[in-house]
Amino acid sequence: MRGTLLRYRVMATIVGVLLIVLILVGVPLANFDGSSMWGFIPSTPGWVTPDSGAQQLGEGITHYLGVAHGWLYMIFLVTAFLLARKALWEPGFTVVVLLCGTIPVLSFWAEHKATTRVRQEYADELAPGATSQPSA
Amino acid sequence: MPPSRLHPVLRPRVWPIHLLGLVAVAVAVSLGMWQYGAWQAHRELAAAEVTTQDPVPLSDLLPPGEGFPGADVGAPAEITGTWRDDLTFSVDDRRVDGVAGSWVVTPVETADGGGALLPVVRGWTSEPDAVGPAIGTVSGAGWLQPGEGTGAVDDEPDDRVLPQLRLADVVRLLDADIYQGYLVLDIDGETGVPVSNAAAEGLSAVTPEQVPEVAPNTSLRNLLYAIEWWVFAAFAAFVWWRFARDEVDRARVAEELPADVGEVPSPEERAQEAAVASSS
Repeated sequence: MRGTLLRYRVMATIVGVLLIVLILVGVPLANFDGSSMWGFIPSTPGWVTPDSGAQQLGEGITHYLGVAHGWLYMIFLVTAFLLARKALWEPGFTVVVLLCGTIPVLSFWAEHKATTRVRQEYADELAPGATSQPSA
Repeated sequence: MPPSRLHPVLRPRVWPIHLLGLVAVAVAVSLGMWQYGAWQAHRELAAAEVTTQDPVPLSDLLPPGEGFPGADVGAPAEITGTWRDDLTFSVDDRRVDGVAGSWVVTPVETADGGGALLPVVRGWTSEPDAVGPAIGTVSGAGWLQPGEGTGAVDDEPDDRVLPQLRLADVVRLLDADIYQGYLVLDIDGETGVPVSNAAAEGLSAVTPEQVPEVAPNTSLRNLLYAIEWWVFAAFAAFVWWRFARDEVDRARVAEELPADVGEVPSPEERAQEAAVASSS
């Protein structure tokens, strides 16, 4: 349980931080130049100058981090699902934890919720000195 | 709960799982299809030989003040206008067969552009200072290109040399209205349209193949996203199946082993039960 929880927490933190960089830094820098965005958002605030260094940075972030984040998110989902199976979460809680990983900032709250729950319900397994896991 | 006659996987309490699973898989698959479609569109665009089409008047492809038509990168366009030699500039770091050189670019005030200037690449040279002026009127054809944008920074913004043909830099340099694209002048008549007054002494022709590609990574990114979405769809399907199986197992345990609910049947027992259930 300890390893499963650790793997989940590491991935949740990585994905959560990258999500903030991607959505709250990269996307505004790349797109908020006063023009329309992604073909369906009619206008954006004119915060950055087109083709400026800041916008180039934003393009770089969305370009490379976007793809990388997608794959890291897959790994996160797998670690989260493994934890959900091991901790015998009901489907509702599992889905909420999986979905919240996609929402910037909220992902940290979900990680906190999940960790707290596991620590409460499996305190004996996670206690220092507990070596083998009791069979379920 | 009284045992339902429905198979456990079809019972109402499993419906939310099915709904969620169906939606997740459908959304992920269709988002993958969308990205895959974008990737294919890019590839078809790249494969289509636009550069060998018959030339059409510039105003049909790119009227002044309008955005660049994405499907017409490299399409031959005919122009007539006046050279603005006073605004000539060059784009450096253009290598041809390993030789460093520059593009010489002179804006043309087109006859029907209402004063808008079209940056025209006259040709390539390793000695941009030795190129003569472009005076008078010009007519001919060339390959229409969108502005470049490689992220190269203009270290010396005060000279008339640009590191790339980025339209934002061109506007700043010329301080005039320009078309949302530029033309690589066909000084050898490759497009079938004779050129008059190309002012090409000392210059060699720039071919469409020498034009740097615009954002070649874009399409690869679409493909990677498509695969990502499909992997996600597979994962969602797996989670769905796992949840549904849990429910089935729970129902089986509740109905068939009411005496000792705590005992979960082993996989072998489950398989036997399934065999019995399907044969009856």
